[in-house]
Amino acid sequence: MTWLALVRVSYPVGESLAAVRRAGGVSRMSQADRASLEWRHVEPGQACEGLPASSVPGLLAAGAIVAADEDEG
Amino acid sequence: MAKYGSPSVAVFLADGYDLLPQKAKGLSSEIEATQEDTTGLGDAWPEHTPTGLQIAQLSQDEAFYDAGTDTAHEAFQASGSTARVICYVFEGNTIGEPFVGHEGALGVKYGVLGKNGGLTKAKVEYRCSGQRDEGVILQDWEAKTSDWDTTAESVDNAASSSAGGAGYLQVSALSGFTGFVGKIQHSADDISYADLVTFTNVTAAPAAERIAVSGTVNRYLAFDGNVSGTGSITVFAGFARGA
Repeated sequence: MTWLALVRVSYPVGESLAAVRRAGGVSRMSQADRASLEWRHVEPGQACEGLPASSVPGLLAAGAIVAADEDEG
Repeated sequence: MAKYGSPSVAVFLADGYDLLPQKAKGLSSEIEATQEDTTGLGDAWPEHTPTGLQIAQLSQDEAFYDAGTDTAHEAFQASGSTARVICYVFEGNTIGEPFVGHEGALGVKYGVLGKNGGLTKAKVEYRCSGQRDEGVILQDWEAKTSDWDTTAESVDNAASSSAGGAGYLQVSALSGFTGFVGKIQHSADDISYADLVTFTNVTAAPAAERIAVSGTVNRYLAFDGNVSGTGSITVFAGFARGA
């Protein structure tokens, strides 16, 4: 499933995502750990590659993303 | 029960103007549920019925008169018909603490009071034609010199809400930067964040804005500030969830 951003969406990717999950969230990380995070920033209309699956329901509920085929319909 | 003193009134901004230097002696924020007299023939006692309308009133007790730049006098000496965006706090200037925001506050009374043997004072009374919001601080009022975000201090509401809300932005000082775009972001899981409110690009201070949004507001809220060029900017931001 390809998700398209309807507003700017930001999320950690790769090992950074794993680190955030281990910590239980961005706000639970130390300043040093946060400084080393790799973020992907997706602008409206772009595909959210690597979007954490766990984040999809919340972003859908907020109207922040849409399924690519829905958007094209 | 926590108690708060006057030092906790650490933010009082109207359209970006900082009103604290004038050292007001008091700040009163009241909500009135309007009533209509529905007493009729045969009633032995007066009867009043709520109309469902609320009016917010805000008054600032005597402050010292100061006609300098970006002061209360400069802000309020003009027509009292100017609607203003006002933000203030009673519990300190810290992310996560509550703030109160008004949209449409009209300075209906502004007076300069000279007194023999005393310092000249000024006072303002506001009647709010629009919304009064109670929310949380997402960006405490402080100066910034480069891009930043507050995801490290995101405010956790414990759950999402579905009644929208309103974001407030106050910019009390700006120098050097050619532009500033502030955003309120939300997240359901404190991992992925999406823009919820995008404020208008600010190119000069003082400035303020209130933006209402509808629908789902996710559990975590944070503020994101993006500046253009080099300089300094002093910003306050908060969000009030709809009831």
